[in-house]
Amino acid sequence: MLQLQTSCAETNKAEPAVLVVFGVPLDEQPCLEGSSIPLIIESCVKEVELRGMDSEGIYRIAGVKSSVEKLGAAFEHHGKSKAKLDLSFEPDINAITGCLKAFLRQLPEPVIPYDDYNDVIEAAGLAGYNEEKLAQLIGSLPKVNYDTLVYLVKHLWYLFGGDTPF
Amino acid sequence: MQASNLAIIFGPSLLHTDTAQEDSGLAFQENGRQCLVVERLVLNWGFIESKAAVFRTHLHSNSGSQAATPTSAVPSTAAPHFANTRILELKGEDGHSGLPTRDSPTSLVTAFFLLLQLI
Repeated sequence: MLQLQTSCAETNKAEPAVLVVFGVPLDEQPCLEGSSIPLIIESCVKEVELRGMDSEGIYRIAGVKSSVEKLGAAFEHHGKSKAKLDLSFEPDINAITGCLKAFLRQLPEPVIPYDDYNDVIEAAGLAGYNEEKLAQLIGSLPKVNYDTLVYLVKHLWYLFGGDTPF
Repeated sequence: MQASNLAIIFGPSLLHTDTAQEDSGLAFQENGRQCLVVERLVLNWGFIESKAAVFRTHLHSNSGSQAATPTSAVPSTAAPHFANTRILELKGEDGHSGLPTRDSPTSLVTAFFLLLQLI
């Protein structure tokens, strides 16, 4: 687990500059202006689509741990700013994908919430794939979960070979 | 990149249980089910998203948060243009390309589960 849990209280009580990003629920994440998708997800995805599409094993190969942690710290120091965080300072694209994966893994509740887990697994199951049910479950997700899932799946579709970049 | 590879990476990230599975065999199967969900989403996304959007519109209109009430099952927002065209492209003219498609349940994850059922 990444050691990225720096609390505001530990840094500066009068003017907290560092925002905890990792391990914090989706609906408490800073977002770009006019977006409901966590800034860290949007920034990493855009960077991957900008310069990682031809990279072998883009999500399979792990980034250097120190680089991943440096990126995580950059997001935390970015605070609540709604401006895009420029990730061009990080040359290792696998560190960026590693940061995104770490963020998703450390969410206290996943993008598809615990309450929906069994129903979603059943709807997608081999015993009987129920597309209507799956769509209904996806459609009933809270807004931030729904928007985030749509964003990520479209990104995966693009990686898969689809033709709709962001 | 293969949808099954993406599913293996993102399956356990996008959904998982809040209880640890002590039996490694069961944990492995559970992990496979999580991957299958993501694979379904990626391969069928155009269809799923258009249906989910319709359901969402109904949900919001029933809760009174939106004035417009859909009167038909036609999606209020069009499915992404790739929803149909891309899958047809993948299938090729003879319908038998090497890529997994909506009509072909022969992806790696799916095949793995079918194999498990046969053993």
